[in-house]
Amino acid sequence: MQQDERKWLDAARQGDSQAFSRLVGMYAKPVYNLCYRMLGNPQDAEDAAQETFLRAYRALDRYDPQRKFATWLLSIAANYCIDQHRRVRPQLVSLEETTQVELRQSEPGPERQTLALETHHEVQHLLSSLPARDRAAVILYYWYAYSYAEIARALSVSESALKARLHRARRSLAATWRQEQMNPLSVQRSIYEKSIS
Amino acid sequence: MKNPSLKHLSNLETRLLDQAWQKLEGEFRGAPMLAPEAGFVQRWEARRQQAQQRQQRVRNNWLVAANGFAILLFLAVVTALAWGLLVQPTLFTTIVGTIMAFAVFSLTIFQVALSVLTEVPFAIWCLTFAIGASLLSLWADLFNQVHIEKGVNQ
Repeated sequence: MQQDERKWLDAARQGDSQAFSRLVGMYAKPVYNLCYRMLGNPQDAEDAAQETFLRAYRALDRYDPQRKFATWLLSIAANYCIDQHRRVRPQLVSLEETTQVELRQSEPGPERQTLALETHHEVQHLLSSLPARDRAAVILYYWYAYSYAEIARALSVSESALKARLHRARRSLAATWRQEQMNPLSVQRSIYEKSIS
Repeated sequence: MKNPSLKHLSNLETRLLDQAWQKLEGEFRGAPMLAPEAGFVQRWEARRQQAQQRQQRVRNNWLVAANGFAILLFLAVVTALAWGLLVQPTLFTTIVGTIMAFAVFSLTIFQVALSVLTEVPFAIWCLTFAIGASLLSLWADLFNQVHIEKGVNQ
């Protein structure tokens, strides 16, 4: 796997677009997942993931082979999604859109599917309450199991700043969740107001 | 000193948030990795080709524009010269005279530069060159580092 990646990377850097397509196939899922968790809907996630690979393809000659390719790719994706947040106002997504995505891969059995779907909505809903930079840190930490150093480098912050950011994000997530347990409507309204402000 | 009841409330809040997070952390760790719809690589290849075609079109347009501008400039100069010669036949000799004067001026500058080169000892030249080359490589290295960081953060 690692050898294949190195081989395809070398070929892609020589200008072999087919080799890069193999890398796209290899990393489509992690990049798409990051974009989906950041942006919250399948269309934007697909667009952001495609754009990430396009940017990586163009910047391949500037890639430092000492660094893990996956981390480099995810840092491009994270920064692109953070930029998108700055430029585009977040949109509310219909429940059906996310449901379709989730149903494709949830566990078998209707009960477990429903439970997985509820968890998915809750996680996604809580993530959307965080500022984009904090959200990126949380996603890279919980879904990709990267070290603090790797995440800090991907997000261009110091390790101590990243730890502070993660701590703040966890507190914020827990507070939102607790509030929601007590008064669901008021929290949803405040998240909505935050997203359109 | 901090009010004891406020301190107690703060501790209580922290504990409640910690409990809430412990519950939530499991959900975050257990959340699945979402995959794109089938055919992602094909869609990406189509997008890359479109982007390349667009880039090529933009490059061609710039080339056509630059060539057009150069031709227009050339025609304008030729027209101006031809018009000047028609109106004032001595203009040609004036132009040739100006070009010759410029050539003589350049030759003088070159001779002065050559004399400076021979006046200064060779060792001093070597030292100056070594200092210049090290400063240039230092600058190139710094520039390269900044460039790589920018590429990653774009």
